[in-house]
Amino acid sequence: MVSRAALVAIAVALSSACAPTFDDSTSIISAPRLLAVQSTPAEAVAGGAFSLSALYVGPQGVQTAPQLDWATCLLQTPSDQPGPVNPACFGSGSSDVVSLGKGGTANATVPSDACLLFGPNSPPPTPGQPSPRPTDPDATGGYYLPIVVGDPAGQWSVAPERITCPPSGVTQDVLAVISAGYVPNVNPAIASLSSTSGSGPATVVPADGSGVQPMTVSAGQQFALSVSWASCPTSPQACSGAETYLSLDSTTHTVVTLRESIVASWYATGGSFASDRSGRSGVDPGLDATNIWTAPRTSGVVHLWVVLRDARGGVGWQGYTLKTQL
Amino acid sequence: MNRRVFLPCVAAAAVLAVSSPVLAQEAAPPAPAGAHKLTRPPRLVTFIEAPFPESEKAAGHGATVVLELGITATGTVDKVAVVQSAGAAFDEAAVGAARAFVFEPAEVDGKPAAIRILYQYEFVLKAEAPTTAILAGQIRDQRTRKPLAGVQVAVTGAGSATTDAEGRFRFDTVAPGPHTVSISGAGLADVETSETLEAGRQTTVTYDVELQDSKPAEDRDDLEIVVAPPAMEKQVISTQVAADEARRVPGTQGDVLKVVENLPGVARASVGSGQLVVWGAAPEDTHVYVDDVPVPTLYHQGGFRSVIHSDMVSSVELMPGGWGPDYGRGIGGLVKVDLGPIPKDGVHGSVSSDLLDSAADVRARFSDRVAVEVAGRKSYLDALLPVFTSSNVGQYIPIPRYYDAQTRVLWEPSRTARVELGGLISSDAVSDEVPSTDPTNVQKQTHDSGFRRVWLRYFKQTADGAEMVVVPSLGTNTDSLVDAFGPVPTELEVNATVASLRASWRKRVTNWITLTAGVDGQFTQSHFRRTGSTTSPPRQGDDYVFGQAPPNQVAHDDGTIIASSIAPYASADVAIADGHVHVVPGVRFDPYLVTTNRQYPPFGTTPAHGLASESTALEPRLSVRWTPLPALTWKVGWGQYHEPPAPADLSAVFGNPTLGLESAEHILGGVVVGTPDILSFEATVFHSTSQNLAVRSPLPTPLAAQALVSTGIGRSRGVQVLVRKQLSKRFFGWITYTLSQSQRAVAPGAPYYDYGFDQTHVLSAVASLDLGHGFELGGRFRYATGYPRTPVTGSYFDGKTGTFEPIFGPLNSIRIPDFVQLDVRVSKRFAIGDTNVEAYLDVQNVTNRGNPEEFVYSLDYTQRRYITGLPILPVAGARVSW
Repeated sequence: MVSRAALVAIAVALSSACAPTFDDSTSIISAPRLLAVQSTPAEAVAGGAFSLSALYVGPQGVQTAPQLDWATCLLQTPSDQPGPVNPACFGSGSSDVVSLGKGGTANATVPSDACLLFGPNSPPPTPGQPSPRPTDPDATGGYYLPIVVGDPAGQWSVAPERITCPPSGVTQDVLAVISAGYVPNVNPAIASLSSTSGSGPATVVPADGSGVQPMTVSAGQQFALSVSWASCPTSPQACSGAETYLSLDSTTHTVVTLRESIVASWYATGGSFASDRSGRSGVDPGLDATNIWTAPRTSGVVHLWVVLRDARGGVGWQGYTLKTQL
Repeated sequence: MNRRVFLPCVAAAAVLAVSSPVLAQEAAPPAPAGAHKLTRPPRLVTFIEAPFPESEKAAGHGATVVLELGITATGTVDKVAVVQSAGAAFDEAAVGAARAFVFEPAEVDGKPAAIRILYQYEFVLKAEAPTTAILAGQIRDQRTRKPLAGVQVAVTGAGSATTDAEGRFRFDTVAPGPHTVSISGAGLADVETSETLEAGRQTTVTYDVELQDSKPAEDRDDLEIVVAPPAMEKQVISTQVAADEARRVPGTQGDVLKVVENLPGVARASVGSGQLVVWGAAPEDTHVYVDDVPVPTLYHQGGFRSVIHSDMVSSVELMPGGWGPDYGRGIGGLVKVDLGPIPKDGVHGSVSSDLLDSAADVRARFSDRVAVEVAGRKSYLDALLPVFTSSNVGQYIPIPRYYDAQTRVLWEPSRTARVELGGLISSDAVSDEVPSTDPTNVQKQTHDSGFRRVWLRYFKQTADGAEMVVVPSLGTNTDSLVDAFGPVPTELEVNATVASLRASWRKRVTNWITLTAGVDGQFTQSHFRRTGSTTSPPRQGDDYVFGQAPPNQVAHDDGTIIASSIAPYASADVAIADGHVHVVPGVRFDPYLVTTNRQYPPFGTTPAHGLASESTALEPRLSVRWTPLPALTWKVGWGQYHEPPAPADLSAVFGNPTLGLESAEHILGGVVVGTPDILSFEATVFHSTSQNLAVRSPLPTPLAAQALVSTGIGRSRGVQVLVRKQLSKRFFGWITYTLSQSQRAVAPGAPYYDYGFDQTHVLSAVASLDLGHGFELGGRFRYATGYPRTPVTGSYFDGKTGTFEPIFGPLNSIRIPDFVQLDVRVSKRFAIGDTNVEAYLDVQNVTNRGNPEEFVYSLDYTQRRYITGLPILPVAGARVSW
């Protein structure tokens, strides 16, 4: 009564195998785009200063001195919005969108009331009303100040700056542990990028302007790429790899020790990647992320970028230049 | 007899005869004219009514005949002549009557004398005074309540009649007064009862009789007849489908309860959702009762199967709105599942199997008073698929895993009482995983749900004809959704203990009033646990696109909610105008007590403060049915409805512990023309408004413990049409069409938007034809407007995650394209001895049309396409019953 063909039909049907496919890889750079924003420090306290720098690239490589519009958005995200910022942050004319100037970098200061606006502290109540609901932390226990970036093509981006806010609504013991042991986030950094092909492993040298000749690869050749980062202590310490950090468990309201995940986003001006992103979860002790890159079938120069993002909002990147030849 | 005669007094006639130059003239006396004087005119002392000619009744009007009467000196009439004719029939009647008149003789000169006068005889047609009564009714099997055909019903002085296929009989001309009603027939001993009938009134009765062969031989002389209240009229708007008809509907794979999806007023649910969307209401606002036992769902997850074995079901009835006061705690529709009777003898059962699951049902009667039924179903697709495909297919495909079981023990301590102990259990589990090289993009989802119920049902029919039903039930509901999108968790778990008590009493207190009164109580203790973002899972009215990662914000709350209410209710079915009009006013008084263990979000070591709130809902209901003709019924209904908020919405972190009762008002009217067994047409116009709906706080930063507020309003309006031919010899089918609009607003005065479950047009056509030789061919065609969705008008890049986020346009301002699907079912029935076998092939979407079910977007939200629904899907199965 039950045939194999019918079962397969059921499987196909139930899988909603009818989901469409898109040619929507975000890894290949065909037009100028903002790939990442790094803030330094990666986590700042209320009232603290931080700087922002953008990785803005195009088919010809990094775009120098891009005319990016930077702004701090002081609008809170409505409760019916699933995104990380209030959509009104992208409008113009709001007094809550504070311009930080134009350019490839910007400097800003975390508002002194950031932990009220975007953190665990309840804003002052209106007389006769309960206190407003505080912002919920992310899965790492963090809170973020919205930074919005507009590029010359009209594309908006956000680059939230993690802010250090003492937890609210916890016991003194918990507060003491967090205050003493929490180490603000540090941006991750790429230790190395290696490639493996039929000719064996090789280290890809960053295109840092030091005059190093770009690596030459065969057109159409497949490479296993591996990006690595530093090994970090298992206790909370500043580190450019997957850091261990203290967090407040929202369920038990106790302090827990977690480890950052690190995700590598892969970008290139040519060829194709097997995955747009790859990485290691917080429970995965690995120190690298791998991907498969297929070189373009034409000769020329290919720019390649790897952006590392840790779970607490830290960002680091490195650019590489490759030559393909037939 | 409709007859009335105007009799002019003789004196007046005499005066007329003397004074009227036209119509009367003084008769010529026997003496010479002028020699005598009329000293006393004749006086009519014996009047004879002339019958109104039957041949003239059809004309609908009366007539006047002017006669010349010759009256003798003794007062008799010896001559009658027509002076002014009104036609032969009237003339003859008038002349015949006048000849028998007797007068006090006229006196001429003080002495009795003969005389001639003119007499005007008027015939006036009028309605006859009622002189007879009507007795109509139905004979049913006392055990099964099924109608009995072919039963002889005799009424003293009125003859006898035989009940039709619906068990109905009727006597149109019965003399008023007491009568003995005798009932006899195959399988029945002669039984008698008495009825007192009133002239000009119709008395409608229902007799529940016990079949002789269902009783032990020693008891067969002790038969009785129970005069039951009239069969409960359907709610003012409802559609009921018998199980035998429902299981043959294409697309249901023989599942009786899946027929609800094709009834008028029901929107087409998205594939795999199993949701019941009735008149545009939220699925959770429509409630399901199985023999008065509330259950949380009608279908297993995905909607592939119902939670009750089809062989247990007698019928399913959908009431989209305007229902009576016996049900409450819901502002949407109502689905009632009636469990069927257990056969009178022997062991019966069925086994069925198809690609999804197998099911079995066994019914056994151990004596005339004790019977048992056990049924169950178990899915096995999750076990079969890995055998034929990759072993880890379950990680990628959300394969439903479910089972359900039901049991009933029936004890009938007397012929008029039944006690039933029953149990239900249902369990669902669905899990899937989307792997990724990106740990922040790994998706895992597990959704487990289920419920259990035990109940005791006591039915008693008293000697005075009243019916009493008491149904206490106890059970649990469980629902656990655990979703992880990378590091972002979403957990929502609600476990509830549910106790309910429904008790009703119903009696025909007079020939024209049937009273219903009862109590409907429910106690629910829910423990919820929720973790994740406030917007995950999304609510209706949120900006959201399918597949979007949940916001990376994590909150947590858990708590206990107790919601209890015990509602007395009453209604009266008042039959007036000879039963042509039924006015059914009712009222339900529903006091709610809701307690939460936490009024504010947890804060440090501050102890939680609970909150108890009491709300009272007074819910008047009214329905009126007018049946001016046997095949024409007009009906209107109105009612107010309330329901408590969902337990998880009372969370101090994710919701609002002070949410009040949601309320709705239903107004509807319609007409039914024809009879379902031949062909019926039913049209209903409806309008419902709802208030105090739980919606997101409109504040950019909601106040503490007020993430939700009770300001939402809604409205739903439309018209539904049903053309139906019920199952008869070879064919059944129906066509339903619903035109509706369902909208919501976040607060009074705020603009309305199309509700996420709004479907403007829903058309469903179902037909099944018995081809003979056991073959049956059926088809189902469905068309539905797509659900509204919020468009994505742009996107922005999130530098923190390296992903894109959507920018939304106006809420629910675009729609998924229309749904069109044709399903076909072919079955073959045959018998092997006492065993019946049915093999069927149910092919869904025979045209293999790719119906869009949901929008999906590319990673950067620059491209939009559709997830399409099930491709052509043949499901073969078989059912063996005995």
